[in-house]
Amino acid sequence: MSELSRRRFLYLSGGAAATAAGVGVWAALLRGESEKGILVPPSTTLGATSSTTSTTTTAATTTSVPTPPQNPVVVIVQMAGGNDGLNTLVPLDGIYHDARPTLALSDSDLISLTGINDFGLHPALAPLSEFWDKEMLKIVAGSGIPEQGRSHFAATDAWHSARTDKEETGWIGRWLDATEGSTPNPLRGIALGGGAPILTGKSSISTAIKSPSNFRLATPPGTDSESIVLAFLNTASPLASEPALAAAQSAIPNSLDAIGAINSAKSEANPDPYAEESFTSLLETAAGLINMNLDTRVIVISVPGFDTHANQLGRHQDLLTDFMTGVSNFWNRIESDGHADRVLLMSTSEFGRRVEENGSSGTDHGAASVQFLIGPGKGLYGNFDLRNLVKGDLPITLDTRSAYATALDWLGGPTDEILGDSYSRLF
Amino acid sequence: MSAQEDLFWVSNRMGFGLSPSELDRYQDQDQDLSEIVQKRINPEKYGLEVPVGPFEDVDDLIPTDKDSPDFNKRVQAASLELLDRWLDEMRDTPDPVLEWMTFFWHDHFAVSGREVKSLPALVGHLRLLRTHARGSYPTMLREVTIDPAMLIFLDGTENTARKPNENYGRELLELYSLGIGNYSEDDVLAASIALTGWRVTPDGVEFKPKRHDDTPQILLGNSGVHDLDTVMEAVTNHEALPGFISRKLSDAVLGTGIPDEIINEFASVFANNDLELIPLIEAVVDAGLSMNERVPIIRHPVSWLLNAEKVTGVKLEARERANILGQMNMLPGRPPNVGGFPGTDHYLSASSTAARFSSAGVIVSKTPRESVALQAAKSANWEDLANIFGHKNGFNQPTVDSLQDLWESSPSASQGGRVCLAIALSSPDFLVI
Repeated sequence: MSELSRRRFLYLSGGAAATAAGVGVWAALLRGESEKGILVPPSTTLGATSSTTSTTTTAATTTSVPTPPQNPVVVIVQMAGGNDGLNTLVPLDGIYHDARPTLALSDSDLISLTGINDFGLHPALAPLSEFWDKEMLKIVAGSGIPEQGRSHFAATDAWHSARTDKEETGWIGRWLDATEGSTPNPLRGIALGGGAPILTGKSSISTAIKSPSNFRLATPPGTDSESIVLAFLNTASPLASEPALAAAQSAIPNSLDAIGAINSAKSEANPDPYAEESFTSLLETAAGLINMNLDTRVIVISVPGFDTHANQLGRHQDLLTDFMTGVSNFWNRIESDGHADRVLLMSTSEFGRRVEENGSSGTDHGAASVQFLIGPGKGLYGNFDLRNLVKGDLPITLDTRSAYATALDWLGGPTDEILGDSYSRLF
Repeated sequence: MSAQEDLFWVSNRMGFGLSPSELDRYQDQDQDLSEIVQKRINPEKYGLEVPVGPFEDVDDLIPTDKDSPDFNKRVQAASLELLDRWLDEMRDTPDPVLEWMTFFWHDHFAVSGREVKSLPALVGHLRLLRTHARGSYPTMLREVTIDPAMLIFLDGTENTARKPNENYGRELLELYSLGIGNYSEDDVLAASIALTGWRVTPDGVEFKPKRHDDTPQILLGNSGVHDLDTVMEAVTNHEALPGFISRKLSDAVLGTGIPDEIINEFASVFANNDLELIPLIEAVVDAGLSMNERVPIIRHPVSWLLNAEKVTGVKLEARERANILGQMNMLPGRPPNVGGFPGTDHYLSASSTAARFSSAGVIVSKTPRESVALQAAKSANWEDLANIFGHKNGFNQPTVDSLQDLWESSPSASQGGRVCLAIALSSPDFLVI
């Protein structure tokens, strides 16, 4: 078990005002900006009881959005389980067809990209070609972290930490550590649906929400929700001197603020509390969060299911369709909200899959995969080197950390310090 | 410290809490409470029987007809039923140290149903952990190494002479015995090669000499290592093992701030007793009990949930339990990765905090009227309620004030009692032990 981060119990003694109206209200109130007894919980924080959330605090602030690079946002979309890069960005190459008698996509079904003759996109990704034509799409073929180890746990660790030495912090967590202000804001880094390890820092705190549509405070029927939530909040202040108790106290206002933010960001409540979180629903929440100007810098969303060892075609198609719907809706929303200029979206996966399909119409864990970056600029980087396989795997032709470095630059760095080395950027 | 405080301490740190009726039972027996503490650690020494575990007699439960159309559905139902039995056992067992240690090893070896789809293999693995939970560490480690679930989990089934797979060899050294810095990459390969040739069969495991590379290896400075026995000998004789395992247990029981000098004392007790676990457990508990000032730690989600059930007398439905623990990132049988369940920071995450608050509400709505915790809350007797929770010095002042305010503003003592009990269960006080 990890040590309690010191920040957790320093948090409430910070003293500064909340970062934006309506945000950090619980934490701010507990910092002494209101007397105990006259605390009135804003209705937006009661996700379970007020689904209509008029969110007066959020709508008003959109007019004063600063332009980048002042308020950059990186959205990291994790395709968890190891996305099959070859069936995502498909090489027009006989070797591919030979290796995949049942899984190869036919050349005529692929979506072509203007000026690219060697590859086509999976048919579910058609809207990406529009991003390409608008000079807003960068594609990395053959991306991965070299020497990321042979176990897939090691690969997952490297994916989160951007290092191969069992570093426990995540690469975004290290960025949050390096750049946090005097008043820590747990909403600077938010993980939705998973992906939390990437946010693990040494001193910074961030927000992890497994299931946004399930993320609410439920109170027993027939009781007064507001007074119960208020009582819960009041157990958090003043902070005890004993560290474990103080840490448990600090978690309460932080969580209430996160609940307020998430429930305002969701455009509508999901009627089925047990529904699986999809790219579409998580990215919708992400777009809502960006529009709230919570000083959120990084949102990580993660959807599992890419570990397609068997009967891959249909499942992969569904996953990519969901991914594409999510990304298209997300981009439309942030464009109409006026935030598109400050957002960089990057897809990642922990590894790719074997070139040759297995005996179950699926593919086993491999090495290199593919990444998409949506934001300013266009380009195809790296390559799928089908003629120089390493143990049946695509060799890594471009270090994933080049994409990470590009994202960290977008956030304003210090990029090389965080990655521990200097990687080429995707210009 | 009073004997009652000691009993609460052991019950919380190496168990899943103490219910009011359990406390009464101990006090009625008019026994020396310190003897009860000793009996909890080593019941066999006192001639107490080890309870039949939740993983025995489960054959009827586990579906075997893989071809039937609803097989997957029935496997899911069986998994849920097993989880429920396991949690029941943790909550109600007369031998909590055994169940606590079993769960500790589950976090340590972290075999997950996500990778090990075979329910019989997973149950067999948990049974193995429980059998050796406070036995001999070398014996447990040897059996885990060729356990079907572990062979599947860390690719031992793929580890052959032609193509050694280092997944298990690496974790054996890094996570299960020595820790990083005490072995080299060559050692990982040597251990992996010497462990080639094992595979899983429908009835268990078999060793296939044809798939095994018997070439003598040098492992951790020992030459001639070529098979399971010699790997185990090299690993369990290594000087780093006692300290590594002692640190892990000490962190879980006493918290992470224990200085190396004390860990070294635990390690020498462990080493001097042939790596038997009971002497190590005794040393760690003794150290905890004899500290002048006990440093509180954050309770993990399984401990929180089961203790909440215990103090209220509620038993949640299997599905409710699974949902709550899933939200809190600690679903038994499903550690998220090879490193086990996430640490304290995750138990304080927004998701966990919200789930704690919401499930406290569910628990109080099901709390029976005669529950002593509910009675105390109804009469606004916060001292009594704190006592039932094991907080002899009462709740933290903000908690007392908040409970009192809420109680006073409630329409009736009956409703006030329930909502106040929910706040007490979700309070910071109930999260620290």
